[in-house]
Amino acid sequence: MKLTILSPEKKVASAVEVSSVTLPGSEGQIQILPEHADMIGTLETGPFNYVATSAGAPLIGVISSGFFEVRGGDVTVTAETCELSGDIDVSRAKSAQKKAEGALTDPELDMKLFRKYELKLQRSIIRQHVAAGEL
Amino acid sequence: MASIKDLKKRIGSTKSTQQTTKAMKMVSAAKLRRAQDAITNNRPYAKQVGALVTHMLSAPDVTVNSPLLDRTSGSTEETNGKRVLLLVVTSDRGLCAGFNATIIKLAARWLNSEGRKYASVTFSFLGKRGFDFYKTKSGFIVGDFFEKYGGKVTFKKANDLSNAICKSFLDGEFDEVKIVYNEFKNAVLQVPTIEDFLPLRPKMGTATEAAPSENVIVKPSADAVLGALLEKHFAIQIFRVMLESQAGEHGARMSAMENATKNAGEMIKKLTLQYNKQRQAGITKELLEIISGSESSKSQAAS
Repeated sequence: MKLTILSPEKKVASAVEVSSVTLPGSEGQIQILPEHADMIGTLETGPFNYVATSAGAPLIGVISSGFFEVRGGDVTVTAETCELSGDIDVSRAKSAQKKAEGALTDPELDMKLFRKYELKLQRSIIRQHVAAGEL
Repeated sequence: MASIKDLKKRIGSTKSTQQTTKAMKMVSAAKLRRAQDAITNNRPYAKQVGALVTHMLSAPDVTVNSPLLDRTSGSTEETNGKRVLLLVVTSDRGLCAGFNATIIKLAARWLNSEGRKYASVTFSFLGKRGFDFYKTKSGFIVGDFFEKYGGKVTFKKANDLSNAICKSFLDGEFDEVKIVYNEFKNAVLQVPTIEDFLPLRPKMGTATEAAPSENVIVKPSADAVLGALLEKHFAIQIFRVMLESQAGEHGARMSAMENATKNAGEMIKKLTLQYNKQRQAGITKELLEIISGSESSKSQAAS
């Protein structure tokens, strides 16, 4: 099973031979193993990991909203942003968390903005967890 | 004729101009490399999302009717009473030869030929140059100038811009959206292009490629996936346009600066030649004066 991860700014993985891929699907976490049926789905922000056959240990990272497609046994992930745990800027995530937390205390916030900051907070926390290797 | 002192001054100033253009050329070359990399990195992603849209649209059980989609393909000629938005993508800065001029010209030409068929034409701008040129012109409505999306190209900016355009489209402000920009071919060639942006007209007749998608599991639902895909698709299109335009700008500036450097070199050569000639003429003249002076004093002494 080959895995390709694409983001607008770079190619994170290109046709890597993997034995398992776990993704944050919009209906819950989904694990894709070889011989999976053809499938198209959307992804939420969350941690993902994949096990490269050559490495053995799973590689983890964070993905934010995107799509995945299983086609002929190969997986293609298109994500808006995608970072592997080694590339995460923890200090940036921390400052984003502070900013979001500060913004959420504002009682005047309307629903849309509230949701936006909520998601921002969620993302920054997930980032920090993944960077620390806790997920 | 300029004096020796003037010539020396001019040589000096031309030399410093040459230094500047040389430096600008180097900077552009470096930026061009990065911009080119960005395009290469973005292409597979854009291609994959485009493929997904096609896959989804060609699936037999999907009957999505998004207002962003135009399924009645072939009705392109129908422009009666339609309002169109033309997004003019130029650079913020000049000194890049005909890069902005070709875009401005193309937009004007389009306005005169195609634009007349529409009920109203609105120009919106990405990039200061186009805005500066068109803000005082007439024959169309001067729309928004998306100044904050200029500068360094990021996906977020593209996303925000695309959302803004899609929103005004969905609000019924426009019936069609087109983009005019410089397509990046290579470092010395940019092709000014007008592209349809909204509504999306899916390419039919790609059924052979999409055939195996009949048994695809779609989660959470076809509509949700397609909706999300379309939202992305437009952002990606804008992002691609921005990247192409950026790379084109650097390419154009690089060759413009190279030419300027070459011209400055030629100018220096010419001026130096003139300078040397005049210097030599001066020396010869002085010598003549000395010789004639000594000759005359000699002949006086002899007589």
